[in-house]
Amino acid sequence: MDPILYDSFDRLLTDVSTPQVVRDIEADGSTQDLWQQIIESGFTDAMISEKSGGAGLALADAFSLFFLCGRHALPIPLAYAMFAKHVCALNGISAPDQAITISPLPVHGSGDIIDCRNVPFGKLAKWVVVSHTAPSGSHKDMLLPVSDAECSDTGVVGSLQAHLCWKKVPASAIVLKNTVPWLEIAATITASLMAGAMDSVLNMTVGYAGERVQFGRPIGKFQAVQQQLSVLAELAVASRMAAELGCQENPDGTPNGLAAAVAKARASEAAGTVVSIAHAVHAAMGVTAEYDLQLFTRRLIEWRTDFGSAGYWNRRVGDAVLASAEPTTLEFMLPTFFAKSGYQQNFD
Amino acid sequence: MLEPLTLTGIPDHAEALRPAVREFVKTYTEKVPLEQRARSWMGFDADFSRELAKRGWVGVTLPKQYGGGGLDAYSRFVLIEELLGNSTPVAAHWIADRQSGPLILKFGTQEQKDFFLPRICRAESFFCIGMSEPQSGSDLASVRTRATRTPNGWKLNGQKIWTTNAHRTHYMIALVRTSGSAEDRHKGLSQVIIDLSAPGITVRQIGDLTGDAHFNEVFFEDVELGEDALVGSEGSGWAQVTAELAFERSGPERFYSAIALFDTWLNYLREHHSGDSWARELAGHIVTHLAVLRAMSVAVTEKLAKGESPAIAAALVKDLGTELEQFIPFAISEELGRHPGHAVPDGLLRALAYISQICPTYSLRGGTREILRGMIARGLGLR
Ligand SMILES: Cc1cc2nc3c(=O)[nH]c(=O)nc-3n(C[C@H](O)[C@H](O)[C@H](O)COP(=O)(O)OP(=O)(O)OC[C@H]3O[C@@H](n4cnc5c(N)ncnc54)[C@H](O)[C@@H]3O)c2cc1C
Repeated sequence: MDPILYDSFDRLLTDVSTPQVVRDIEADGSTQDLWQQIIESGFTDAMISEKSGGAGLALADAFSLFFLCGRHALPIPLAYAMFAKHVCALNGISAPDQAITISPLPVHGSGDIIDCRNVPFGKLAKWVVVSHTAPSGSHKDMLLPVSDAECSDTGVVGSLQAHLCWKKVPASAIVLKNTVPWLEIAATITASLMAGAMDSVLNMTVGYAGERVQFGRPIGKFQAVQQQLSVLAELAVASRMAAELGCQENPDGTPNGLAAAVAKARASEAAGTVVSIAHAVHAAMGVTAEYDLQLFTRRLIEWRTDFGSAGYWNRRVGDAVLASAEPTTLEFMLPTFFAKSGYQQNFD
Repeated sequence: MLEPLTLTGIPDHAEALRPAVREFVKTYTEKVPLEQRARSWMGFDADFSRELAKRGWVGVTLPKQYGGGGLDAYSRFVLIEELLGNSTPVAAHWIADRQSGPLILKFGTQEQKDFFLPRICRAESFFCIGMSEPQSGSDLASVRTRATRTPNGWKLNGQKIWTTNAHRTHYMIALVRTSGSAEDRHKGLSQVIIDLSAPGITVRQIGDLTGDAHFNEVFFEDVELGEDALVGSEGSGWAQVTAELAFERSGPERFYSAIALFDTWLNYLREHHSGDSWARELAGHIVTHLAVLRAMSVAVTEKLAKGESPAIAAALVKDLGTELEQFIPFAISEELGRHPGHAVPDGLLRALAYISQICPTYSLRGGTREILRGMIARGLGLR
């Protein structure tokens, strides 16, 4: 990723996605100002091709932007919207410049009803990408307007998720004919957000350990605390690498679903330990509403199950490994995950 | 704060090495029983090392003028990934290839380079590492083995322990005290090359819990070393050892050690009941971890290729990697034990028993988990 773009996005989010803004939006859901600032920056169109007026970033480049959204706990679905707008553009549709999020798979077997539970950013989104399979078995990817949905709160304090339910496919639905593996991509974007949030959690926790004094010294001087922080750092670094890997396309430019599976499995597994170490080191202060740690750990807890938990994605990878005829894991892994990063399939 | 690791590709020139290595390795693995391959890089086979050397695959990063491959760190990564990913017995030349050769190249005199490097590349001279002593394990700076000046060189007295393959290698590069006392810590330490056939050296094997004997006690009694035994400058031993450890910690040997077992288990599942839901999830868990570790290891290789010494990133890869290596036998025994009444092949069970017993060493050799985490904490600015 171009470091200038990265830095300018980082600065933008430092200015507009402050802890106060995050708290305000969590309290009353009014995102108008924030959206306006982001739209003016042009980043909503980052993944749209240059020909269609965007910056033309591939998923692999956009990874860094997703990471920063997580690092700043950005309280709007910009990362999902970037990708959704790109897919709309591929379909020749000019997507509305409004908050677009991606829904997890709707509840199975609800007939014509489209019942989407725990939609990330569902409270603030205007449009939602839904992969819907009708009772007839026909499958459609659609952009559905939230204004036509029944919207209910999840009851979780501060959460931006909502349950969204459409009685049937609304007339205003925008069908996306050229489709993509939405679940995989939403999963790897979420893994990238998680890696960003873990990076903030690491920085905050190391910072706190350097300041908080007990027994006459900063708690970070105690070896027991140091060892915990090292584990936290390892998991944050590994999750970031996993998320970056998950955003690598196949050599033909299509998303790599199994790499995405690696990303979400690894980040979701790490999140539990990251959250518990961060809270353990912060002790009582860390669980207060006033202290910023919770802005990140609440998100990590939510994100680790959004679009599939570690077990779901591990299972997907396990199925692929067991279905493959490769005699060694090495021979399975290289073409499956690393085809884009140098590995050549130049064997018989 | 830690410098992030970012995804890096392996350049084409390095990937170009892979097909030939893989082809060679496959002819080997077909013939060798699983139990032996389960030893991974603890497997010692001098003939195998010499076969590799004939093909130019020992000392690939050493300059051509010394008989090396003149290739970069990426090429070595590809080579050893194929060797370790297929569990070949690389122990004989492993230490010379990984660290002694590069150390001599970097710090050695012209005479030392001319003498040792061609022998390393031909797999004629094998090396071992003499760091640990009975009273100096994690606290390596407290070593007591001492080299004192003589009119024409050095006289060596003391003892090393846990020296892998001292009984079947030719040279040891030892960290010894050349001035001051143990209280002087990092000051006054130097590295010397010791010809293990010299008079005054006694090597005694130590058996391990699996019935193997790979490590040793090595005693030095008035061993005469020439002037040219010193590698690098006197008193710089600590700095040199630290640089060496970055090479030692981040490679694929820190996550592929139990791969022969994992691959055999996968093949067993494929052939029999193809795994229940839990087994499939477990297989995926291990592969997702391996994929990320591999990506991290390549990222560290990039830093090595640029000439950096990424000690903290390497510690991070080793700590996470050995955790997975130790998880593999634990998980597989749990999975197999869930199905009483299934006929599990003896070979798989023997490999499982061996790796279950030996795997605690994975996080000891090359620096313990606690020591690595201490280094990472230093990288985080906590100490
Ligand atoms: C299979 C194998 C091969 C080996 N090969 C070689 C070799 O070829 N050459 C060589 O020189 N050495 C070799 N070693 C030795 C290895 O480097 C040492 O075992 C290792 O450095 C630990 O030293 P120790 O065993 O004396 O344990 P100790 O240092 O006594 O440690 C015991 C325990 O205390 C912990 N501990 C120690 N200090 C601290 C601290 N400051 N803070 C927190 N915890 C601490 C350790 O983490 C460990 O859990 C080998 C070891 C093994 C197992």
